[in-house]
Amino acid sequence: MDGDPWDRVYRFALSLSRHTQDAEDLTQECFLRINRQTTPPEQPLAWCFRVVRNLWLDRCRQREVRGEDAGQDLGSLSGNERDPAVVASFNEELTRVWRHMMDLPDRQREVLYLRAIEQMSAAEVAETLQLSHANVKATLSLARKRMRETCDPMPSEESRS
Amino acid sequence: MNCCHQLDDYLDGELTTAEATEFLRAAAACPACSESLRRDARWNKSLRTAWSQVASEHVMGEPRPTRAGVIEEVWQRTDASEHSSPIGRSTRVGPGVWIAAIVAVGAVVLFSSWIVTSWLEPAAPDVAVEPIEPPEETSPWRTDFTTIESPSDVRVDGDHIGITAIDNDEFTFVIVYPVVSTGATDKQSVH
Repeated sequence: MDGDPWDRVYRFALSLSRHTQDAEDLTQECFLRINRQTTPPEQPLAWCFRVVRNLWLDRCRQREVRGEDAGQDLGSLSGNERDPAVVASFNEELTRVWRHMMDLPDRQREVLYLRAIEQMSAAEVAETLQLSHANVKATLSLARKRMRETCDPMPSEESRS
Repeated sequence: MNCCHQLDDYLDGELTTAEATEFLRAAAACPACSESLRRDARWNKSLRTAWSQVASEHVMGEPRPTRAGVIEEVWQRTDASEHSSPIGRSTRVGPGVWIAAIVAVGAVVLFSSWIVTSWLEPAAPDVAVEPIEPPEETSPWRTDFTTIESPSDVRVDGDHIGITAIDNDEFTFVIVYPVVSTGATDKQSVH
């Protein structure tokens, strides 16, 4: 996805945190860090994604230590309570697909975001997230399967759910 | 169907052009693969549309910059600050810097005064140092014996001469000297 690097980093942060305020904080922290770099990284965006992910994991660990929810418990919210600002402009179809993606497990969500939205290859995703290629492929396969089942269920799947 | 196991590779873009063409031909005849491809295309399109509408609201609490590449701006700023002359650059010094500077100056003054004081007043030794006696020089050769000067105690055996001696403990032993070609004996050459 082309566009402003700030927004691209922000979107990735949002896909991780699922919360606009966290995503803003992570993006700002990432750009402060990139500003302090004396030598620019070879791939600035991949570097930013990695930094944002590490920052988010640190934040989750700190919240766990403090006994807070590591991530936002979106499952307990419904409808526009979850992400009102983000989905305000979406139609019903976009809102439904968006929320199905946000309901994916963390690893599946971040891998799917980088592959489907940022159009990274599986190898690039593996390098960015520092996972094995096989792990990324397996995670992507699971994420796609789940998106197929939830976003556009077959009649038999619909009756099951 | 043979094509089903290649579905993920195709979606990951890991098939060659020929393999992808062959997969699509096979998938067209495979209900499972064609249904997966159709559904993937649909949610993929919706997802990309949704994410393209997501944008950050703020940039560090300031108005958003123009849509120029922010990262490139950052690099240029970093590069410029490293290579340009400091003259003409605005420098804002916060209170933390002033406090750090005052602490640093105080530390330097204290350290300097300590150095000067210790230099002008050499400390008296508070521990009596006893002179260390050099170790006795010990000869590698035994000297605590008396040779028995009797012709019968001197024996010549081939290349060696043996002289019977007795030490302070009245222990009798034989000193063996090699006979060298000059005819002289050298105590240092005794083995």
